[in-house]
Amino acid sequence: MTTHSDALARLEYHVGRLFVVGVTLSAAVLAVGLALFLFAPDGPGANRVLNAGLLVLMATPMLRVLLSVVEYVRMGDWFFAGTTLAVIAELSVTVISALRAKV
Amino acid sequence: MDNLLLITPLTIAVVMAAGVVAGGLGALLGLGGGVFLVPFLNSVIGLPFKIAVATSLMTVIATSSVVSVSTVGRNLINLRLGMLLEVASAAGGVAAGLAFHFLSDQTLFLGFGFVTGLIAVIVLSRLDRRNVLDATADPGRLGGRYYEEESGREVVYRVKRLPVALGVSVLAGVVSGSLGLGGGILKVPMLNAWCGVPLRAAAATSALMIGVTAAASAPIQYANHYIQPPLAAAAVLGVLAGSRFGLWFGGRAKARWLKLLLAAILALVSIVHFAKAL
Repeated sequence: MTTHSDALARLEYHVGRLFVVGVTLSAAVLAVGLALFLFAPDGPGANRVLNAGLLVLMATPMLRVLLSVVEYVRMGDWFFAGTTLAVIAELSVTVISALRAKV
Repeated sequence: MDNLLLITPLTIAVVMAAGVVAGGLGALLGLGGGVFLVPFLNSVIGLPFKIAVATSLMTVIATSSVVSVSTVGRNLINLRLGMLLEVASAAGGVAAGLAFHFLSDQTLFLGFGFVTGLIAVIVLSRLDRRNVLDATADPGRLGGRYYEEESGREVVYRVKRLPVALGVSVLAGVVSGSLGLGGGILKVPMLNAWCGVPLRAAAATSALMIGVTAAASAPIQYANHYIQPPLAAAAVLGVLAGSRFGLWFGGRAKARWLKLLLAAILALVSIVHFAKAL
């Protein structure tokens, strides 16, 4: 049980790090994009940068799920690896639908 | 749909300020800022309802990540229970995301009126019941244990009535994807009162879940052009700043009167949306 909770604690630590990076990066990119939009609205840069920031924001929780599946497989916890894969399958439906709508 | 809106620097400033207030109140009261942000963007600034919802959903993702950073390392987040419930809430989110484009504003107003009314009732009736076992007890496969600073002891809990938790999570996912609310306000009291999860663990686990739940529908709304990037950026940055302030202030404030105020605002928001649907 202890090794298991150690592994969960490690997962939680990695998840925390991922969130710090994801939030900091997306906030910084969005701030730059917004500044470009306000001060150089005619260039094509603003929208590109803003969209990049939003994509980082949306990708962060998805990466958390991917990180979890790796960790559960390493733990040999197949029930939760399966659960996590189910969430990944659902998110894939979202991403595929979004890509198809975009085209 | 494209470029119907003229986005001025003033609009951006107002949206950002609204984000600060919504994020601050949300963090203070332990719920996402969506219940404030969506009506404000729609009724006060005049953005189309679906754009207000999609913008709010982006801030839900940001809130989830930030709140999770603040609770990581304290064993409050129940990663396994969260992941299991995410299967349900993401299913609700995907379904709502796919349906969103085809739902009428009337339907969404009705839904928003109903959910905010329900939240008002939950806020008023919320019981801070404790669900704590002996420290030596076995929490089972889904339960958890964490160290509680106030009492200085280890808290152990077991998860009960899992099907109820899964059902409410589906609903929370639908609410997230169609109304732009995190859905934590539905899940936290339920996990606490019906499923045996202590309030703090329920709140931390729910905060982690709402990000993935929102991410299960946000990309679809983004692809369907319900996101105006400059406005979404302003709202997200505002909410990030506001929730930081709210978390800091929340440590020192007694929130009882704020909850009463919240219930009153929610009741009003609920009535307004029912009226809009008619």
